[in-house]
Amino acid sequence: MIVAILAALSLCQRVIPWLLLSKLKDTESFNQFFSLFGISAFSALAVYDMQSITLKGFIPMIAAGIMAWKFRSVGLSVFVAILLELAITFL
Amino acid sequence: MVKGKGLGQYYAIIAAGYIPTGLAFGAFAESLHLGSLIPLTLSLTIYSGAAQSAFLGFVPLGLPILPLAVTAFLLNLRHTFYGPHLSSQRSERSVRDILLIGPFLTDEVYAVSLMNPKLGFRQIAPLALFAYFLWALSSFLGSILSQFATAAILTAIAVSLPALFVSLLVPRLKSATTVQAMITAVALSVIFRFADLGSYFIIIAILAGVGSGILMGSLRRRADPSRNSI
Repeated sequence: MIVAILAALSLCQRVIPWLLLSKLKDTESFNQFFSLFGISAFSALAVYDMQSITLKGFIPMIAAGIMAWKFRSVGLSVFVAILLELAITFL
Repeated sequence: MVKGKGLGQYYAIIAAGYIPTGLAFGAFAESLHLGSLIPLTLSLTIYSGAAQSAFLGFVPLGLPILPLAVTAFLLNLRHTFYGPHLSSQRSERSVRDILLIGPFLTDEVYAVSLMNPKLGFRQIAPLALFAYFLWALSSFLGSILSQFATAAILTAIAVSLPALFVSLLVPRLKSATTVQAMITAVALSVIFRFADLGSYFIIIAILAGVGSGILMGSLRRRADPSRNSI
């Protein structure tokens, strides 16, 4: 049931406003406002989903952040974080 | 209208972003012993890396439906304005285009479409569908491939979830206001975790981050009335 709720939410949030709203003249201020929601949610979720809050645990996160900042690629950043975590685990 | 090689680069950008993340998402689902069908179903139905990851993040925390739905709603709130923003860049737009592209409009497809306003909706539609099926396939393959991995590797792969959120977060930090929102949300989350207050408090951390960002934005506008951005 929760999957159905999330799927419906995801679909509605993408399609309905686009259908209802005529061409927005000032989407920039809307985007800036809602980006705060995204930033806060991503920040809190990152902390909550870390296995443990330790200095060692932050190393892959910092690396992912640097890669995301430098290359703007989510895939590459996640890949580097996994490699670093594997290195920390096995070396 | 963008043609040939020019169009190919956008498919490459989508693939570079989706394949590693999709594989990591599938592997993370497998590390929670959810099998291969759950990540595939989540990818095909919810189709939002952040909301899907939040779902997986909430599974071990055992939270009830409401905070998860609210978090997913807040995480995807930005999608609300992607479509209208793209329309404002282009003269063409039909209900058919909206119904075809809207369900598949993600951060990456939106960003690629925004990069080049010459990309018409008829070109964005196949790009969006390509991203959708690539994401589903990658997450399915990730869960399959990780079944052959050891427990230590799966535990290490679990880092992909917070790393995904960090990667989505960092490019959005463009001003002191956004940094303020991040610091507030992170600080409260750390305090809540150390205080063992329960995962339900994640909503408070998120809303406090938004509130502090809005407050700082209004203070900065008061100091400099010519400033439009928050």
